[in-house]
Amino acid sequence: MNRIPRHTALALVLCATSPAIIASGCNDSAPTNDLGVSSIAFLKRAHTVVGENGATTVNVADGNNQVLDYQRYVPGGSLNILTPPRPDGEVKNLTKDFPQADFNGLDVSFDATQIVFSMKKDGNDHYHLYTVQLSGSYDIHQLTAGDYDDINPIYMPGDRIAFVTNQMYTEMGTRADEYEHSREATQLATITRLGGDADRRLGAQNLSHTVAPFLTSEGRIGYSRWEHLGPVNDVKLFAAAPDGTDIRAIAGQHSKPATALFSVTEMEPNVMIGIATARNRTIHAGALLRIDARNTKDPVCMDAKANHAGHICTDEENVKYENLTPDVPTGNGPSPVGRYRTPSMLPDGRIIVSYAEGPVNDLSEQSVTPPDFGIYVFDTKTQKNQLVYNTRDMWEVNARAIAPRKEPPVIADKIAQNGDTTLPVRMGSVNIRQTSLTDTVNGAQFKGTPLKDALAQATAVRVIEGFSSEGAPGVTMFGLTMDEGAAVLGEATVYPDGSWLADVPPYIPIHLQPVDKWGLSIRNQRLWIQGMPGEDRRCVGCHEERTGQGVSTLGQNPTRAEQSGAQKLIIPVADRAEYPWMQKVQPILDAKCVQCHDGGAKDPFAGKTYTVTRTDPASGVATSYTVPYLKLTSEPVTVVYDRRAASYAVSYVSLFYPAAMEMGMGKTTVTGELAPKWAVPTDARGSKLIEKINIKAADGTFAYGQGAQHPEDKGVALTDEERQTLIRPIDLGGQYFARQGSTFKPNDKDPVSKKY
Amino acid sequence: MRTKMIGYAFAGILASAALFAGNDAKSDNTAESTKGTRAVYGDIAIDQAESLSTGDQILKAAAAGTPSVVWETLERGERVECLNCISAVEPLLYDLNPTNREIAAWWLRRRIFGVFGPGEAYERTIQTLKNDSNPTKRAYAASALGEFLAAPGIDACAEAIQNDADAGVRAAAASALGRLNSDGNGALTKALSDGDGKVKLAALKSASRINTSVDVASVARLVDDGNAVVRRRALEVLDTYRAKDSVSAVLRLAKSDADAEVRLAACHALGSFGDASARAALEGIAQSDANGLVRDQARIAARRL
Repeated sequence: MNRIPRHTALALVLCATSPAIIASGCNDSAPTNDLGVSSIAFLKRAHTVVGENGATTVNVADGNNQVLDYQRYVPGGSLNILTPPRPDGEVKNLTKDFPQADFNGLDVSFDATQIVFSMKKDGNDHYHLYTVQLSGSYDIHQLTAGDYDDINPIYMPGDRIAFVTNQMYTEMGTRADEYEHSREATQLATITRLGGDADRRLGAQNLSHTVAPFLTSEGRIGYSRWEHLGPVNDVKLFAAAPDGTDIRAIAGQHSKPATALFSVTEMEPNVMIGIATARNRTIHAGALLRIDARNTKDPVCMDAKANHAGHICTDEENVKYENLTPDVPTGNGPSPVGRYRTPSMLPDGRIIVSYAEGPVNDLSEQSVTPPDFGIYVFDTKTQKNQLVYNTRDMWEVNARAIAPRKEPPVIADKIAQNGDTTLPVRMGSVNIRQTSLTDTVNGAQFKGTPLKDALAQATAVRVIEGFSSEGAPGVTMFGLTMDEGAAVLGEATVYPDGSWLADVPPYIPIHLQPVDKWGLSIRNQRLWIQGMPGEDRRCVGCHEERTGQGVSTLGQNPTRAEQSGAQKLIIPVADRAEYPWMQKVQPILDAKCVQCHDGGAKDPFAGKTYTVTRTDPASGVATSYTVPYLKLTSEPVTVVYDRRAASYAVSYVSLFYPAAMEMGMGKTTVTGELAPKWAVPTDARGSKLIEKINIKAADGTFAYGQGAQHPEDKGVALTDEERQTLIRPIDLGGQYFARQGSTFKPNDKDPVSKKY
Repeated sequence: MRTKMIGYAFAGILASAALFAGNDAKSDNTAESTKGTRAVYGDIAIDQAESLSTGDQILKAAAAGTPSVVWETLERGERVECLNCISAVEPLLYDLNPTNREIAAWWLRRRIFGVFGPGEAYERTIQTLKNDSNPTKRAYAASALGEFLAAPGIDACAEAIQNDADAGVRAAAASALGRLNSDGNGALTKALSDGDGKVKLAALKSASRINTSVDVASVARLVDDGNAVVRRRALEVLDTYRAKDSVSAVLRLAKSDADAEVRLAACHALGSFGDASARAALEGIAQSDANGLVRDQARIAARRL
């Protein structure tokens, strides 16, 4: 294939017409004279190719739509060094032996003698990690291989390399996020410079993608993580120790000026620069954002040169953001002044970036005009870009100074490389009532109750595994909810001192719900947490103040939970508590409810329905679907083609559709009296169904009112366990399907299970 | 990728029009776009809450959106019950752009109403795979069934692997089984022995992605395929399977295959197998192979043993 040169007329039009171009994004006409380094390394990535038949194809955004996308392959890229780093410098292509290659990240070693990069050699290859020596014959060595992609490498202290991989592992395989489908979720991993795959280690899994790792001054792996948990959908910053333990939140968990923080690098300890953008449509580019996550309460942390050992120097609750390019949108609308990507630091503290003029969003795609990313130095004072290097026919990205830099200290492994991967993770809190969150809780005994007060009534912590809705055929439609698959590993007791402790499976994403004596969730944690085998992940409270007192240390009084020992919540996948509607919930409804709520003569809501209608725009034909106000039978709400096709019981639709309607009804016409929100995903205590049946605790008190329970008032008794079987699936999110009752089979090729 | 169709001048007009049309360039999440999410799930910070599409946005994107707009709009329409949008989205199952086809199937499969009923979109897709005279449409239908992730798609794709005369359709059906996380009750094994290379490659990819291993012997036979890419892929699947019984065949390829990529994949597989009997051979390859990257993999593989 041959590339053809292009001109980005779009950008020229913009610069000529937009009155908004007054500051950021406009380029200084004079190229930069001196970066303070003799060379830079960068990647060229292609967007336009001419096929053997002469047809030109242009790839503007595919594979770079969402910031999580990593499978953009356009042949013709290269790894280069530019000496000296200025427009007339000499470009040396280090990968000229791979003319069909594409690239996905690079880093320069601490001593500036080597580059690690991710390359896909041709269309039949995967992205894998390579190194090239920056002297002699520039030998290239391949460090990883296999039927998966390894991308975004960075050097770590102690001759390690961190990256992300879509390799399958754990019983769930890839934990492919249902928003990315066949583009399997990428997870943290490490190798060593010498050992490559022989020293390969896989981190604990997130349910969605982990991308763009960066080195912190503490020697930790910072990274962007797609947080997709029910209604939460954004990209935040975290950091982990090189052995995958000790995952901590860094920024974006409490507020941020965009939905995605991405492509981050550290400027000084706990002060970072990165890209702030929307998750979609901006071709991995956005505004340049300064992210200050320092703990301002500790003066040691504010001194970049001080020894921070023993200090808690990040405070993700109080991160300060400064948009260095205020004219660049942090959403995904067309930019009047271009967009930035892949910033990094020069030794003198200046910022080297890739930048392209123009809208750099789907307008670029619509006009089949790829943004012209080139390399610039961004001046934070003038907000102008000084050209370093740009060619019109390629993207120049991932620029890094080739200069020695300080190697952070090596963090000793807590988890041995060849340790027992089946060891549990120990999780717990010293006192769950400690919280810095200011939420209020409503429903049942709570009415606008501050979370810290509500947590005083927690009697247990529900530990929930999350899994993708794409785990098996027939479990793919979770119904009227945005929540992922969920399995309860167990409920750990909260002791009178507020402590709890549990052993949970390693590697898997979980989240927690403190529950009260009626088994109702008090709060649904909307952040995945996970741990490595044998790791101890105890917290102070339930999202305690981050700069406060730490967990109890040797010599302090052990908590009641510690005295009692951790509860064992290590359960095989097949035995975890899941709530497939037809197998777990419907039998209770059939046995205890449908004698009245079947639409028959005894049904108080018989004949009461509402209707949703679609009209085919082409034919004008209207089709109506009738939803009973409340009907709890198992009859399918639609007649489904093929007896094995998934269908929804009318009970499920009747209970959950009112809440779903509140999320959005698009162009659908609704007629008739709407039912109340019988069941609200993740909020059993706010669900009318649960209020109606009412719950009695072991101490004889009732969650709602003074003792009226249904259907007991009609002479039918629900057991306590049956009530909990109605509560839990609502608290978990209202999923219709689960792995249980489906054709799901655990991954039998799991490389961390020690089966091989 | 899209074929270049629009000139630069038109691009400029588009961009200028957008600039002056007052489009919100500050944030994609707004109080309004997250209102539905927060009404049901509580007061989540706007920068974190799922932003929802409107029915109008879905209709507009389906009619004229670029792939990234179609993707975003339908993804965010996950729980927007837009019945009137179904007939606008369904044609995207046969769009020229693969990501449009993929996300259209994803959105349709998350519908409660209007897709899985008799004569509705899902049934039509199965019928298209079975009966359409256009092999491209049949292939797209097979891909859609993979994305629908509903159980009837397994049999439909298995049947296509057995009976469809077009290799592109059989390859699409084999890929779809990978998405369905199913071996199609033996259909993937059948696809592994298909006469067409792209069907074999699709089957190999699916074989490595589904949770349950397919017939290892059928994969192992492909290490002698005449197509070097098929041999390489077969080795990668055996690598994933940790198929130790294949050591001798894999070792033979590591030593002597004419294609360096095949030798490299073979060396990596030997490292994954963990069979110490391969150590001496790997150490030899690490010294003598003509290709430096193969020598790297042999050295690393030997270190794993």
